[in-house]
Amino acid sequence: MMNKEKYKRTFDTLASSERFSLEVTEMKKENKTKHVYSRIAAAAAAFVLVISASTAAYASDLGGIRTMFTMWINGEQQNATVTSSRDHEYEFTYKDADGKDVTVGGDGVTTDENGNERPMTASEIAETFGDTAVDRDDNGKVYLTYKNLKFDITSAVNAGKTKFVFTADGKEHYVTIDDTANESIGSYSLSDCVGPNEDASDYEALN
Amino acid sequence: MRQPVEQLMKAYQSHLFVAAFNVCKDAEDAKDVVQDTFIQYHTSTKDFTDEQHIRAWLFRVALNRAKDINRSFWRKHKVSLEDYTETLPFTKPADHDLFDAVMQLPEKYHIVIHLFYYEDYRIHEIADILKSAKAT
Repeated sequence: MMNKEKYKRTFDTLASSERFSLEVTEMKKENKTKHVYSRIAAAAAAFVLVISASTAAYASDLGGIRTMFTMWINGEQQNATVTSSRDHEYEFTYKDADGKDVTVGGDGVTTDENGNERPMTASEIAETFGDTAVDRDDNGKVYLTYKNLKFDITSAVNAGKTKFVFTADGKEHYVTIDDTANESIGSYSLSDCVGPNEDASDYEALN
Repeated sequence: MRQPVEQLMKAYQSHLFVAAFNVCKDAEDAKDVVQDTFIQYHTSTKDFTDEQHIRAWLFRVALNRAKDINRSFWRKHKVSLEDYTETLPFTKPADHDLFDAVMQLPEKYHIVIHLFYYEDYRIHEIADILKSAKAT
């Protein structure tokens, strides 16, 4: 076997060990308490959000600040307690429909008016949870949510559709979800661009 | 030319992760690098000549971002390399040994080795990605 083949076999093990979406899936299956870390970059009219997961144990009190926020989660406004777990990283804990604690976490960067990157505040991160998200529930239903809007896109996703458009806050949102979404139960990567879009006819209208 | 970021994520996500891991030696940091790289692509208006141009640009951004993270004290090595390596399902003991040996190399060597052996880049292409002279 050639050196290159040995090297590739070795590092293929590393490459295949980390499946971003798969980790989220496994974690959701095992534990209803989510511990999802996301990094979000806010741009003028577009952003991309990729979710990765940490399997680190959750400590209930890490000595950080603790305040309450109202945030959009799964199409509903939820009161959440925020804890700063470490520099510029925050965890939000809210009650789900069954009264169980659910924790989501995140950090992020945004660009100030001078083009310089700065860490997002807890308030800004809480606001991003109201941004576009796609999630599959335990019954296999796939929902696209934006603040209080919630669209059932199960049949469209199962039919292989990946492009959707909806109107919210007076703007058209063109959402493309990862075309591997069907293979990934429970998590998606997506891009959300605010219109207009020259290829609008390619997108399935949701409202 | 531009390609949809979703296509690029599907094609290069794991490759960028492995390249970033070579620098960060931490899986969570390497994942952050991958995300930051695609965010930078998505928010950039840069025009590319072809897919190979995009691929090289993604590696350059990822490696530079990984070096930045490596220099940031508070993010470094949340999980020890030894502990993480033990979780990797190598098919042969020799693969484990090779992985350990590569990780012991100085950064400037194993990035070059990785781009050559794993990504099949030629020397002049590696020099272009790393912005260094071919002789070095």
